[in-house]
Amino acid sequence: MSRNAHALSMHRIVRIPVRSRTPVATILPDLVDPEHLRILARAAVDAAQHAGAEYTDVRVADMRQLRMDWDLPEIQPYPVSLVRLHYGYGVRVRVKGIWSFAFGVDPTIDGIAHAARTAVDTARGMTKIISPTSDFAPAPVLRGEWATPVEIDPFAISPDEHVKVLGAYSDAARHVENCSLDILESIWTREARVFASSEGTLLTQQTMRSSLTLSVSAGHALRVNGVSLPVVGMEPGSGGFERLLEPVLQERIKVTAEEAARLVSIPEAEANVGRYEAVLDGTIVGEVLGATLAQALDLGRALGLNADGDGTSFLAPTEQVLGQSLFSPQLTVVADRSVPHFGAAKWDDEGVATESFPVIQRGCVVDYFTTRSNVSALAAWYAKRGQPLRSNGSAVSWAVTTSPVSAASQLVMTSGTTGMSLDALTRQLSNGIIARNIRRWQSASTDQQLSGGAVYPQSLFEVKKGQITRRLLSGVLQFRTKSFWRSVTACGDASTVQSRTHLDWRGETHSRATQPVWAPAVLVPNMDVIQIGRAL
Amino acid sequence: MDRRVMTREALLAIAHEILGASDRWFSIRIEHISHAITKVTNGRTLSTQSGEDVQISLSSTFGTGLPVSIDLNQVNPETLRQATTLIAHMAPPRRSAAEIEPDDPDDVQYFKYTAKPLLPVTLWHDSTIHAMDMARGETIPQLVEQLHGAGLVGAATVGSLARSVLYLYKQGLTSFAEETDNEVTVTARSADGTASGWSGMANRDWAQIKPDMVAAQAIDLAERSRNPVALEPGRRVAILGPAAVAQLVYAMAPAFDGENTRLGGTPLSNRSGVGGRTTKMGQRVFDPRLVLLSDPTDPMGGFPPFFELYNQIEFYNYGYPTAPITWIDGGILENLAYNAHDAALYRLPAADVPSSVRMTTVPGTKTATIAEMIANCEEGVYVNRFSDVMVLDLHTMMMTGATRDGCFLIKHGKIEKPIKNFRFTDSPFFSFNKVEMIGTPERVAFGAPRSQAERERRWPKLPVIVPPMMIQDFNFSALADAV
Repeated sequence: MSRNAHALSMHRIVRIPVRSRTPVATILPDLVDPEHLRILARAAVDAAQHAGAEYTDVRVADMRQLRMDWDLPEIQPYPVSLVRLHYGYGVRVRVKGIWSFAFGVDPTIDGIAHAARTAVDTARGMTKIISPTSDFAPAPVLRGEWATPVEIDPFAISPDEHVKVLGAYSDAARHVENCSLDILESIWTREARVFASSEGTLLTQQTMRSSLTLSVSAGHALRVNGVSLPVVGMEPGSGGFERLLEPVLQERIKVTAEEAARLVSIPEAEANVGRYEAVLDGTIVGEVLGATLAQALDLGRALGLNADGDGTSFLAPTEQVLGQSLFSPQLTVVADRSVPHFGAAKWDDEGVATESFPVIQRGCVVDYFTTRSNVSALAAWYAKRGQPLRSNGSAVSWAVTTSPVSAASQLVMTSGTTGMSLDALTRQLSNGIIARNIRRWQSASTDQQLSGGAVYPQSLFEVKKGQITRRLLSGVLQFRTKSFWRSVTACGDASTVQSRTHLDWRGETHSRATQPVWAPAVLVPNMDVIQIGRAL
Repeated sequence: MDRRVMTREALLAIAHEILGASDRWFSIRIEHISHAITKVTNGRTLSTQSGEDVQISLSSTFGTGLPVSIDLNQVNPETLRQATTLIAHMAPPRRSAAEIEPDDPDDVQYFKYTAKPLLPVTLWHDSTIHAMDMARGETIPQLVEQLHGAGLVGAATVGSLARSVLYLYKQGLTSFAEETDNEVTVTARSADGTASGWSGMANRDWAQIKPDMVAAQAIDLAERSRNPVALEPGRRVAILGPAAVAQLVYAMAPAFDGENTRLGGTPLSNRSGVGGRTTKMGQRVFDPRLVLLSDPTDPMGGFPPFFELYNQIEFYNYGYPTAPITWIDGGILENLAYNAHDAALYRLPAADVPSSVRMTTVPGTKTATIAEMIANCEEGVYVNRFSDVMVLDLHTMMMTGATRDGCFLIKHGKIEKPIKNFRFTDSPFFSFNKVEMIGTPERVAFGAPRSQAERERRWPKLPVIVPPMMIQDFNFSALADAV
């Protein structure tokens, strides 16, 4: 018996309606043959170049998604399932320095060629009225194929088995008194994506992404004043169903549930408005990082290109930011699209090889997330550092029907020295607070320059002389971004690192932007708490 | 003229092909969207996006069938057949036909998805379809020239949408709508990045859009926002422009979810339980001058006259007809939003939460222009709009966000100076009870700021028509460094 088959057999079967025992893959149409996607992509490039484009790039993708949401399993006896199939393409052209983008879903050569010609016509029309854009950074011509390593294809598992495994995890949480699963969600996305450009690059990637979310809670049935904690090991990543079968997961669920049960038994009190010395867990630090620095380091945003949409960036102008010691020396942040991180890919959506690179080193901003079309703004900085002017592989089309933008993918904040566990950090507080987890369905609210915001922790505790004394209700943390990151005095060790995915939907065509962050707990000396109360 | 999206007949043909491939009952939704969007920044094209998308959704989420949905965007017969096979495998009925009793939720008649009349609405304007080809050639240069002439850097978005949608059930309910919409927004900023102004306009009819006026307002706000000074946060009189009011009204829509209210989960719950009531129906919840209503036939604020996927609460009654509904009349709570099942149970009208809404005043109410509000304000803050409004607590609808693109100190009846932005923390269920003056309602543009809820993905947002307001004691909870 293989390790994974053994793991499957270890899960207890819970009482759930029997659904299909037929693997989804046996019924779903197969992903389109990548060769067909390449034919479409080359046809689009040819059509655009023939119509007069000076540069063309194309993304064509076929995607399958299987999603199971099990919200409050003790109330909802079975998960809601969604299967999604999406086949689409986007064609970006440049005509006399003017960019244009067309997208479509008609998977024929005529369809994609029509989109390519439409893009060229639009760009040509705009050349009469708009100034050309800046330089387009060079990139090596590449050809190749890459696939996410997968041991067990989740689409080859029947829905019934998906539900059994999720049900076993629900069961594990319920074995701790007063506890249950709060959120249980698994989203599996398999995609074949081809990139082709008029420079000759032709790349094929077959990826498998998983967004796994699992929280356990203790307390009130509807969680109004309960304590909910995420389970480490259930986070977004790249890989197959084996990610859901880690033998340690059930034990982690049990340990997390026991901790939630312990925390919910602490006496409650309303939070008092004030400024506190605080420990924030990795979930909250990850959310604040994903909602502030990850967005602020998008070079397009810093250059003001999105002023009429999301907003601009407090990390601008770039020449006054790069190399400056703006934040705590404790803060180092690295972008990394390697396996098993979420969004793992060998090449980005401009056909540039991805690489791990730091954006913040010991408090200094050293890079932004760039694309070939905006990286020239950093030419002086790269020259000063002796680096060639090239994009760092951060071009992202969240869906192929959207134009690539510069964006962070997986971010990793470096943890502190060994021994700085969450308890050790807490013991450093003489009169402060500790904040755990983000309230469900919530993320940080930030302003248009990401220079400040607010975040509503799921649980907030008063700490006196290093000991948790009361559970505080209705407290919201308010922060000024620069001050917050400057004030980090200590980072927790590897044991405090947690994953948090900052999610939002962007642009008029509303593509889902997923921003996972791995972050340790931190200690900050001044955290503003406001009280939002309940009386009405 | 190319209508850009499929007609009712074309959508019906696809739907009948799907239904013909299966003997199972499930709902079908087919949506066809065409966009033409141009964004310019600092005199250069940022992006020009033209294209279309199709989404076909098969769903077994009605009745008590196991909840499974399949979304696809291909209309070839083989893929559609495979999708119907998949949903039959994943979502078998929980009982056989022989076991189904009258009033059993597994009975296909349970929700009475038989053919039903829909209110006639006019949401389609050929002028918008024409604009999808022509507008960017005329409008964009005009906006760029205005911004350049003012010596400001800026960004603008000009976008149009055409959409057709069909919901079909085997029992006969067939709901179709086609609509167009447009939004033009302009952000003007000083070159040094210390001042910013924004304006926007949205209308289903492109002929009603006045891009020059939008640009002029954004430029004016940016010019007047130069050299802002910091002001202490705190509770202050606020004059909220229509865009700011609209953001609060849009965000509070889930408060009207009837079932959640009955469970004690919204500000409209009667948690004291006085009189055995679970809601505040019949009680005053807003200023007595305020009226809040949703009407699919509203000439300016109309919307498809049935439950839609895009709204903020998952009601599982997609395609089921909705009627005009008055939520608040004279400040009194008149109705809550119930899905078809609960509405039948409580003998109330079925309606979705007010994602598309008109906020107005009771007849005879004296309204005021923003200029008149300023003239009547001894000391206060004018807010053009907010950034990233987020609901912190559903029980109170406590929200937070930051002021943006035009924030001014008013003193002695005049705008005295631009001020730095604030973060606010307040609930419209407090604010709309502290209204001093109310203006004339207008449809508001939202732009396309990022949103954190998948269900809010529609662009442009459904029409929200609101007045500007002068409000006492609005809670500006902190200074925001953003410009």
